[in-house]
Amino acid sequence: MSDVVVLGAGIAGHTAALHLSRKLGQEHTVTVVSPNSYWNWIPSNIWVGVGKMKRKQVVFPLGPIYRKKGISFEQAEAVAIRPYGDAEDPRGAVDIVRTDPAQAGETDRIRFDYLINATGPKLKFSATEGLGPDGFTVSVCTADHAVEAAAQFREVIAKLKRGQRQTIVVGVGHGTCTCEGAAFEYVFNVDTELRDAGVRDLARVIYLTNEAELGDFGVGGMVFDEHGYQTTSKIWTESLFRERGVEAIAGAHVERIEPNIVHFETLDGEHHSLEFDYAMLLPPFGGVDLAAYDRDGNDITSELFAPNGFMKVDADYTAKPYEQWRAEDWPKTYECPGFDNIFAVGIAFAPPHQISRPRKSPNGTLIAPAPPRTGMPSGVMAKTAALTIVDRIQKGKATPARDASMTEMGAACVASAGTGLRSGSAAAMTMMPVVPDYSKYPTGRDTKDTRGELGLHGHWVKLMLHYLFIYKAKGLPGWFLIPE
Amino acid sequence: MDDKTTLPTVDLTNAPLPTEKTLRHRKSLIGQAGSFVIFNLRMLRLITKGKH
Repeated sequence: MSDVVVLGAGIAGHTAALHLSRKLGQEHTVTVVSPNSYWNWIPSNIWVGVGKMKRKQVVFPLGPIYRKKGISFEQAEAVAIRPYGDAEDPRGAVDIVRTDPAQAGETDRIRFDYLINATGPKLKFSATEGLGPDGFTVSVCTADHAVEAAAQFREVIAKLKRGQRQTIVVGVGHGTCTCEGAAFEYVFNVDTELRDAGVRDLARVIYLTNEAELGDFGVGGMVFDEHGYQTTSKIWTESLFRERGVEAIAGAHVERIEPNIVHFETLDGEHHSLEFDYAMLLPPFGGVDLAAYDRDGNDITSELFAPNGFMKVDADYTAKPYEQWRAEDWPKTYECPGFDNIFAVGIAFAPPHQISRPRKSPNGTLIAPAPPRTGMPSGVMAKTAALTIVDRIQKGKATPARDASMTEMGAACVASAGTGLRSGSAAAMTMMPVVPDYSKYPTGRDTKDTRGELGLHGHWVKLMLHYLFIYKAKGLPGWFLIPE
Repeated sequence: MDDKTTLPTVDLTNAPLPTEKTLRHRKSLIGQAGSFVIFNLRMLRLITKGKH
């Protein structure tokens, strides 16, 4: 009998737990530890954030699903990993602090034979003074944040309808943020809502991003083959901004936010201040606060985790310049070095470096999008780690790990640019692979499978994925046939 | 405080604008139904071709 513990119940953690429960017999246990009792389809939060969807359409309670699937659920925050166990038991253990209201603050220690760390990000609003719902901007990172964003956005529309001009800033709130795609989606959904409300001409809409150029999306941009010519995601994205009349500021690091003013530095080292009436700025991500201890209680956090709090896996973390980055630097199995029973997937694993070229301003400020590792790649990594564990339980601990490097994995990214079954629009992109491999492809990616299209069909795809992935996450009949 | 003239906005004046034909295609139900099918097939190819 083996006990498998999964930390986190987001896209990665939940996917891993479902596959583990499907593949492992009842003699084994699967336990999910998550501080939240609800699952959230985060890609649709942008629609909640403009009032096009209700919170209940993007979340559902995890408890009933886990009861049905025979998965134990601990509503708790994991605070420490003990890979060597403790004085009482040499098996690995995780220290948790319960977060469900009935037992809030109670601590416990859960033993494991295998562990998947899929804790997702810590939303580091504190990295920028005044950033976030406790400061002077809104966010769509969680469903509750998005509900608040929608409420404030409604007020903006009401003011516009009264004839008051408004400046709306959407983007990222720090030079090292990731998820620029979500900010891109939000700005065009805001634009669409303003048009539908008949007040677009009174609003100034500005996209503020750390990307050195539009269309980078944290993946270094893309090169597309189009009508016999190569074009870039930069040209394609700039076209959309021009068409919609959305202004853009690129290569920006937000330094601090005051009421209705955002202060930022750009790659040329200049400092700027911009007045706003409404701002949705995403925070940078960090690893959650997890410590690690050996059997004697000595702190070994730095052995398991990188300084940014993400867990080290089978990547090459040697510091080297951009020109020396290679596809082989990226992890394949997501196994924590030295521990063949511990894995980190999704945002929880420490990437070896960025994907986009990192840049610094003349003042030394790092302005470099962090690599995205959410959505499709996150689910694939989770399934890969889960199946490695299943193999090792069923065939023996020496069974080689399965692999799914982001340099050999494709991804579809569908960025909504407005809703409506007849009038919606989205930028629908596919890329193969996610992390470019210049040793295989001159442009870093296979141009046959790296494409970008804009149109109503993109909205249909985004809506289809919304319903498909919620169906899958609910573990309804045939859920496992829907690919990650 | 920056104003419109000092704010370092990206110069989009040379960005290509879609033609009328492209705009019509983006909204055409028949054309978009075809694009929808093709995009889904492309996603399936990504899944079968890559590590998934």
